[in-house]
Formats: sequence, structure tokens, C-alpha cells
Amino acid sequence: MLKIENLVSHYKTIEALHGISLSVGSDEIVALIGSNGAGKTTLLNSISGHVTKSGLIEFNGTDISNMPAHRIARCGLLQVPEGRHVFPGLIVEENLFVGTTAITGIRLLAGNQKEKLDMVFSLFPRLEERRTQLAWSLSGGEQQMLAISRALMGNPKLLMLDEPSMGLAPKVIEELFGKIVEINRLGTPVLLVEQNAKLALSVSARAYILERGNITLEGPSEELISDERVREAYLGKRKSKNQ
Amino acid sequence: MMKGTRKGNLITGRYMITLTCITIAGCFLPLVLSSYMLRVMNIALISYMCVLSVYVLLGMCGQNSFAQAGFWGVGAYITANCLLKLNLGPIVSMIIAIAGTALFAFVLGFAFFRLKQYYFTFATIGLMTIFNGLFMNWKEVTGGALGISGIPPFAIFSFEFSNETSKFFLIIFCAFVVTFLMKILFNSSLGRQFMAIRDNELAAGCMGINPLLTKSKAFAIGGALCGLGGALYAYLSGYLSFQVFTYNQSTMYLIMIMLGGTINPIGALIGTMIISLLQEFVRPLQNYMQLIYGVGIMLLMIVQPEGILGGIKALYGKYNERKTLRRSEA
Repeated sequence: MLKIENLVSHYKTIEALHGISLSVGSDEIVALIGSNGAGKTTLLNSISGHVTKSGLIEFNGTDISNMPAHRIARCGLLQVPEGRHVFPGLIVEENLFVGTTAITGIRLLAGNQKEKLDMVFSLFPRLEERRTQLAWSLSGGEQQMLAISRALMGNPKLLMLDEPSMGLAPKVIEELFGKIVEINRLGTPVLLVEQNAKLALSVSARAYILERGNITLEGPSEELISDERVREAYLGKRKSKNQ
Repeated sequence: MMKGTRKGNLITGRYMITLTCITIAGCFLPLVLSSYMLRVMNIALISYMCVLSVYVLLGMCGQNSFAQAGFWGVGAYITANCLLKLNLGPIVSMIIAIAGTALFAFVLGFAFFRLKQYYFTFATIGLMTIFNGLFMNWKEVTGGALGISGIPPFAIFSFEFSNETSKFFLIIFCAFVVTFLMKILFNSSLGRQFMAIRDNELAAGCMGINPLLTKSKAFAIGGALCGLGGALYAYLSGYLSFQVFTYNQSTMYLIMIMLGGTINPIGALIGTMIISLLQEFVRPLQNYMQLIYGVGIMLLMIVQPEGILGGIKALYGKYNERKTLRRSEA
């Protein structure tokens, strides 16, 4: 589905990613874990075309490494940016309709649009209750749901989520991750960037660990969760010295 | 309506009723106004169209332009040249003015929107200066410092809109149509894309919206509105002088929309009317006008940053809240 080879990203003259290779299969959740400043968001922004980069990015067999951001989105590679970027001055419904822009070819017919809307509302019933409300008046969790739903309106072939748990209450996070698994089960692969390593590893099939712009570890999540190095660095379990 | 909610597309009906009422009330103005005041009204309505272009750019798309009076001038000069040099009919000239200005703005938009936000605004100040220089010095097209005179009035077949009252009806009709189109734009997919860019350009890009193209479209729509205003101005006054299409006029459009509120076209109408009439009634205080504007704008930003319409909406919201509160107490 998505294949990245030797990706190098720059901010002006500073090199932020030093040759990343990564792949996402056609129906899996892949987690990308790392601490602050490791380059997780840079990696997603590079894939979606917001950061200057070199290297190969192949999506669905087409080379997207030189495309502008909006064309990448129209290919079906949709990113939910970090920090709940909803459109505060639009109501929930309008926010969702903006999402259908990403669909290429013939414009969505009104009925088709309604179908998509129903699909999203059945996934997040809370949004249906709030459909005429301006997006700024939603709670943090609802805004995150809206941001994800908006991406779903665009028929994503691959969904990239950037820190969906940021700033949310544990209970809301739990609910949200349940929905992410459900979205995946309905047939959309997900590339999940998360600081909360335990949570990300528990929902994903495979994971990559990013440190200072390099991938240091990769493998099935189940193996990583029991890996000593991961436990030490990300899961908060200290190796006892006199073991 | 509760705070923080808005009915999506359903509101069109109420909007249409308001708009029709205002227009019908406006149609009785020629009965009560002197022909001088009618001229003031005509110019105010033309300003209103230019202010609507600011509404599209700033209110919907979040881009601040100081070049709108320049586009107004472009529309006016295109009309004059089509009529006098190419001997085209008045309707055709008007259509060419609208389309030409829109196309011109679209092309310029592609260049200028490579700059973001404030940098774009600064660039439009430069653009306005260039426009003014062109209007003043390009003798073949704009008549230079002498201007262009002898522009015939608008006509449909053999009916000429030559007196002030008939011109008023022509202009109010155009204003009505344009305001109606604004609502259609607001509810359309394109309008939502504008507002998405205003609210969050990064997220809009992530949703497959091409920011450069979409903002250029907004600039083009703004250009079309200014082109229409310019054409009507040419027919109204019959004489074009570069001294009208100035940077000061552009700032005035911004002041008008800030005063009225950027929420919807009615705000633009309120702002335009207040400023235009103010200019007439406090003519004795002309020397202090700039001071009054300056202080007024500062006060407005402190007391009611969302403009008069924003204030009315907030009051209405409070009234409703209190009503529901009283009902729940009873």
C-alpha cells in the first residue's frame, strides 16, 4: 500500500530525518512510536507533502514523492494532523462536507454524500447530536472525532493519524482507539503516530520505533511489547539491576 | 438559536425574506430622497458591491486585500474603453468588465497568493500603488490625469438609464442579484472550501483542497464584484478620474466591513450605508473625518470586534437564552 525508501527530510538546512524506510500493508494498523522530537510528525508531514524531502514514497503503485499536498490527499492518502485541526467557524456537518473534497473524478452526488454522512454518524453517534453546532464549541474528544470523521468522508485508502490521544482524558482515549480499530476492521489501513507506546502497541499489528530521525527497531507489536529495550525506553518499566 | 450553533443550508429562506424586504423598502427611496441624496445612495450601493468583494476575500476566505479599489478602477476603465474605443453595446461592455476583471484578479491571485497572510496583504498594498500609477499615467487607456469623459449611460435596447432614479433601480437590482448569489456561494462546496482555508489552511490542504487555486478563485470572485461595481460607476458618473480609485478608498472598504461585521452580506450593507451617510451628514466636520474614523475604529475593535451585526446577533442570543431560562423557571 504505502512504501517509503530512504526518506530524508529537511527544514531549511537542518536534516530532520536521515533515511527512513517503512511500509504499510493493505489492511493493517501500523504504529510509529517515538519520544518528543524524534521526527514522528515530520515523517507524516513528509509523506503528506508538507515538508521538503528526498527519497522514494510509493502509494498504491504511484510515486507521490513529488506531488503537492492536495494531490496526495486526492490519491486517498489522508492525514489527520496533530492537535485537532477542525474548522472552528463551520458547523459539524459543513466540516464533514469539506472532507468530500478529497474525492477525485465526478463530484459526489447529494445522495452519495448523505450515505457517507450516515456511515460516519453510525460510527460516531455523538457527532450526529452535534451536527448543527459550530466546531469550536465541541469538546476536545469530539473535535478529534470530527477530524477523523472528516478524513473518512474523503474515502481514504490509507488513514494517517497524528497523535489522536493528545490532550484527551483516558476514558475518551479508550473510546477513540476502539473506533480506530473499528475503522480498520471496515477495511481502511491506518498509520498511527503515538507517544503513548503501550496504547499504540496494543492496537497495532506492526510497529516502528523512531529515535532522532532514524528507525531503530521494527517488528510485530506483540514482540515489541515484550522487548526489553522498548519496555525500558517507552513503557516505563525499569530493568532491575540485580535481576 | 443556541450559542455556538448555526443551521446549515436551511437558513436560505429567512435570508431571502430579509433580502427581499430590504430591497423592496429600498425601492421606495426615490420617492423620499432628493436627487442629490439619490446620487449618494447610488455611490453607496456601488461601494457595497466592492465591500462584498472584501466580504468574500476576508470574511469567507480570510485574506485581507488593500487592492479592491484598484480592481474597481480596472472594471470602470474596461467598461469605458469597450464603450468608447471598441464601440460595443452597454450590456456587452459590462459583461466584459466583469469577466475581464475577474480573470485579471485570478491571474494576479496565482502570483500573489504564493505569499501567505500578512505578506499577501503587504503585496496588495504594492499592487494598489501600481494600479494608481497606471491609472494616472497610461494616457492611451485611462486618459491620464484628464480622465475619460463622455461615457454614455447604460441602456437595454432603446431604454436608456439616464436619470438618477432609473440608475438607482438598475444599481439596486444588481445589488439584489449579487447579494443573492453570495448566499448561494456561501452554501456551495466552493464557499465551504473558502471557509476551510480561512479557519485552517493546513487542515484544508490535508483534505485535498488546493489552497493556491482556491484562494485565487476567491480573488477572482472579488474581482468580478469590483468589476461590476466599476462598470456601474462608469455608467453612473459618465466620467472617470484616477483620483477616485485610491488606496484610501480600499481602506474605506475594509472599515465598512469591519463596522458592519464579516458574518454575512447584510453586515457589509449596514457598514457601507453607515459610513456613506456619515460622510454626507458630517460634511462640515470634513477636516476631522480621518480622526473620527481612526478613533471610531479603535473603539469598535475594543467594544464590538465582530461589528454591528455581531453585536446584534449576540444580543439576540442573550434574549433567547433569557427567554428559555424564564420558561424553565416557570
